[in-house]
Amino acid sequence: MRPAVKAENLKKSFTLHHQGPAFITALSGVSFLVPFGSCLAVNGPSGCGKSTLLRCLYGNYRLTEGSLRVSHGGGFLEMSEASEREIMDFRRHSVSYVSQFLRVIPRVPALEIVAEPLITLGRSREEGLERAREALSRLSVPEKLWKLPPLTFSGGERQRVNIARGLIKDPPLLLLDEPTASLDRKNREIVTELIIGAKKRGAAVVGVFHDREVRERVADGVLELLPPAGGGRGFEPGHAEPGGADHGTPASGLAARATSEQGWAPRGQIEPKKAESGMAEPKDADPASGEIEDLKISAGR
Amino acid sequence: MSEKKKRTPAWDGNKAGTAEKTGKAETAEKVVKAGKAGKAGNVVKAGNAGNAGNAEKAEKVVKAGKAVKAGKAGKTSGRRGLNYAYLDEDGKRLVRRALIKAVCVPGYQVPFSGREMPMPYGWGTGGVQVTASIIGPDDVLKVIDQGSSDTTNAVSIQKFFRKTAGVEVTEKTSAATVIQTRHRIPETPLKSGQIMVYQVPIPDPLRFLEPREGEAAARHANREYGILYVKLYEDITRHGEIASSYDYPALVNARYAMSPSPIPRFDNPKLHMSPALHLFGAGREKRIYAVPPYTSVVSLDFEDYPFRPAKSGRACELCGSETSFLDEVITGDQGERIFVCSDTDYCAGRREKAADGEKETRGGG
Amino acid sequence: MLLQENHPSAMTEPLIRAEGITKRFGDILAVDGVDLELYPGEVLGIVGESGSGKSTLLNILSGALPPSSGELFYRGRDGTVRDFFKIRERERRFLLGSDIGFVHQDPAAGLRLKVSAGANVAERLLSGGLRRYGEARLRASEWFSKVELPLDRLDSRPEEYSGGMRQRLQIARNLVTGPRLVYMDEPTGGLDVSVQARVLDLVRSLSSEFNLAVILVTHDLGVARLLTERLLVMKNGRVIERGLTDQVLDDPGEPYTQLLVSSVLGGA
Repeated sequence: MRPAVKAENLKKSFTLHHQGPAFITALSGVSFLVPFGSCLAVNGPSGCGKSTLLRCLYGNYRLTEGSLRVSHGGGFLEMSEASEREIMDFRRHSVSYVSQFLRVIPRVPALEIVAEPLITLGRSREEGLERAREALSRLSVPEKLWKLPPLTFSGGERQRVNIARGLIKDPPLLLLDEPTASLDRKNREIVTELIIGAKKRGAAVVGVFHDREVRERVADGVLELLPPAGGGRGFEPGHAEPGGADHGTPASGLAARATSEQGWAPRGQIEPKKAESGMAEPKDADPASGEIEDLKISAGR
Repeated sequence: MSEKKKRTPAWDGNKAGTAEKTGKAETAEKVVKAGKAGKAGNVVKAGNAGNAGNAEKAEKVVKAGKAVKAGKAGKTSGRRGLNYAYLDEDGKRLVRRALIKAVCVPGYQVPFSGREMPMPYGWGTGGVQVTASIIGPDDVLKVIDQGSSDTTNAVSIQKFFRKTAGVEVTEKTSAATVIQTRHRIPETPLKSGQIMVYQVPIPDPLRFLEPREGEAAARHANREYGILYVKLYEDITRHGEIASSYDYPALVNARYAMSPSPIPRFDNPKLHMSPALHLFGAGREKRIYAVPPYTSVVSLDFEDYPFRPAKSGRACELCGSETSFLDEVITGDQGERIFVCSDTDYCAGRREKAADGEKETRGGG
Repeated sequence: MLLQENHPSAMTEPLIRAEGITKRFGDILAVDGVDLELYPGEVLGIVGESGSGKSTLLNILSGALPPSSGELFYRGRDGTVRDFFKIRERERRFLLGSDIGFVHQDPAAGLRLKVSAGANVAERLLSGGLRRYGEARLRASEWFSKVELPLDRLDSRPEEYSGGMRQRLQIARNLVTGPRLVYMDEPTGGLDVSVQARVLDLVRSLSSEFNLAVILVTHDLGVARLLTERLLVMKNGRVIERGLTDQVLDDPGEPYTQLLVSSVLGGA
């Protein structure tokens, strides 16, 4: 099948100039290939670079080394060399990134947040809002919330708004960072269906799924990232949400990590596996602890 | 080289300083210097023919076809110990140069280095300097203040020029060759050859909304007059109509916006295509501008709120004129009031005429 | 026409391209060889602390301050590209009054406080040659609604307005001529946080609705995060880092940028 993503020997490291400086390698030697119509699950303990990988795919983090080619505009865009404009265009047309946290813009109602990617693509406002209504009702977001800014929404409601926004334009590449983390069983099921539906329409999906059942149902392959050597507590590099005004700054997050993790020698490796064997890995059994760690840092600021 | 010379316009020749022109220029200077033979030589700077040429041109332009009679000028000296028309000759030359430029670029405010006059700013020093620079002994001067020639300011300015320039003064618009004014343009239509001199307090129509001189100058240079319409917009918004009744801005020669001094907007149309030359002098601000004869002067307005000269809808209680600008005059302690012509000469003229007509009728009967 | 603006080929041509913009004040190099490009409909942020040269750069780009050296290529509506600093003053002023807007941090610098709000909005139309009072007033009131100002304040003077209202008025005044490019210098600088959010939201929605290109100077990374797509980080007159806004803020490379990002309390 035609590949949607070709990653070769990816490396992402951070230099924290005000921490010594400290050098942190979040990803190293990562290679994989994702064909259209398939889903790659990125797996591993907290701090192994799962979110970092997704961010590199989205162009949020700039690669340190390696080649990352993503399908865009009938060809491939080499992310390590792409201009800002090219990445913007890639984001607009060829990818959706559903992060764990919804970027909330003050005063903008949920309906408009969901419709925006379509309108940015040049569709009419009416069409965008109509499709947004469909998506929100499909994800069972109560209609009375549609006209409200999601600032006051519950975690699950925000996440569903976020998923609706990510899926509305039906992109060729879908990046999902724990899309079902704070959803109840019913909504988890709906989201799972939506991901499978996207695959059927030919989309390539790269996602982090802590929920084993979901992963089992959607993933065609698993990319297993190893925890950093030294066995230190895992802090996910750049755990802070882009655009999450309510979630602290990444740099301070990095700084926080560097303070507690001096001498941390990271090492990322891949172990491409079948979904079945991935499931057998005991390491991913406790996703919640990593989450709590992240939240603690956010809350601490 | 010779080819080049042939192509050179005549007035450029003046600058080049051909002997003939220089000679003439000197004559012109001498004429102006009448009565000051001793100083004349110093003032006419030999070799500075270019300036002299300009001076000559100033004379010609400013006098608008009125021949200066050297002989007469020589005989009619000003007050002993003072320059003719008070202003020294260098000062007059400065003003004349500014006037030439002003006439060449209608409506454009020409800066000049005004002199101290024996009266405070705000009493017409700008107008007086202009008058002093253009007046000759054979001129007949009329001075108007508030439409009349018998008010204090008008009387003192008349007196000033009678003393310093030895000119004849008049109250009659038709008899005057130079009319200095503050608030009015006479009702009697002006004729070709007459010169109006206006005393201007604030020359720049943009001043109200653009106090920065540099920016105002840039706006004039680029004909950006949007803010004048902002002022009109404000008027309509606040008063339902354009309420500016004095100093109503107008576009001169379709190019420069001009502040026509504190004349009522009623008088604005009289500037349009007027056969007379209109000169504006602002003494404190040191600016001179002009509306040459037969130049378009269009009052600014909106298409849906066109310019209308204010009309009282009344008639003068003295002469019965229904077309002239009226003053309200309180006539008694109980607030009795009448409306009479602001232009006293015009009003008197009409009454005289009416009286003559009556006499004639009587005589005939 | 709008379709053409959105056409991919039209999008590939920058609206402005600045090369080597430099400004010296005596021995001080306030802006040092700045290059930048801005595309139609794009919001570009310039961040940096006070004295980094960001406001000076904005003043140069907007023609308020002549550069010591450098070129600014401006693509006109007819597609021709010319050096903004070399076109005739009259044309430059015309562009600044129609095609380009400037929103100042201090509304007093961008408004006529003693002239009614409606006239403030109408001014650029009147300067552009509109000679119908009724239409000027109508269009001013339309823009009043667009920036969410109450219509019954159309005839009030901005000196009677609150800070947030003044800023919205300033935006309306600039956008009434349908400019393609608006410079904004700390547009929410002096406002309370709640008022700030409203103004930011307005800028965001108007810039997308009218496909406005915006260069926004701010020291507030939260504002930059919310409004801009690309970011330049300035220090000592030079651009030390540039990239997509989320790249620069989430993955800052330069020591100074890391310091800037980490010194924001509460997150950007």
